Amino acid sequence: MTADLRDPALYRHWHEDVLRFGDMDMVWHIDHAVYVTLFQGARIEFWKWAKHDIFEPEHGLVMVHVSVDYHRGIEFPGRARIGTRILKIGNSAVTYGQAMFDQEGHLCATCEAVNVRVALKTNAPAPWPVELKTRLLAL
Amino acid sequence: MSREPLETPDPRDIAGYPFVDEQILRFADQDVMHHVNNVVFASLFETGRISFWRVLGLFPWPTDQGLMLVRVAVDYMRQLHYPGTVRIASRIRRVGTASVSLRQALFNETGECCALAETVSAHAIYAEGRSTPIPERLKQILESAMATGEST
Repeated sequence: MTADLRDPALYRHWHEDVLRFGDMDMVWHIDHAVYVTLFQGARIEFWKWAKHDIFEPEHGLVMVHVSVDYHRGIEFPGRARIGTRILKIGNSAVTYGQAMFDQEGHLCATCEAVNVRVALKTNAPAPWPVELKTRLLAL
Repeated sequence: MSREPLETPDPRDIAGYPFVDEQILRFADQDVMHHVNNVVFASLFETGRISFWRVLGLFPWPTDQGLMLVRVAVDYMRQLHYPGTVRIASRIRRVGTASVSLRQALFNETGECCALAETVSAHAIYAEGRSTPIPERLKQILESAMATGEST
């Protein structure tokens, strides 16, 4: 599946955040690194919505990849709306597709991120339980 | 021994502020203790201050002069936890010749006061590299905003 991450119809989960003055860099742009933080926050909210505890005692999710494509500057003051979905689930990895829109609905950035589920004691990849994988893919 | 008179209205009471800004806490605001980290409070007070300047019509400010922060003091009163929203309340405490002092308070979702801040901003013409008297028009805006705070 090559999903068009720019299409808002792709997302069922939406997270809204408020931009802060300190998010801006010296040329009055929301700094590029802040986008990464905002996408992270949206993924956390996504898991709550998915009713899966990513802070379960024995397993955790670690970041192995994140890429952001910047389409348009998002402006302070304002709010960001971020859509998040799972694009695929591998043996122990999960790939997300995300898109950020400003409060007027303009596409500002898209993001692809990959987490690997690990056993916290050993840091070894931990395969997704089949039922969980099936449930998540159906979201 | 003399003692500084207590500030009125009570700075921990949100009803004593003419302006309140709402912000959403972020996952990345947390530290390893699962608290919203102390420096994040300073950022939240900052963005609350800018929102206050914005409703007063002072932001964005001119490129050659404006208010520059010269002092921040934060008193931490209660732990703050993600997730949630916070409210940052601001009021003007004093307008001087070249500076303005703000009182700010941060409230959690259940309305408890988690921190108080006091800030001083000096007016400066940037090219001169030092503080300069607040221009009359700006002073009027600040003084009338201070009066609004007193009447609430």
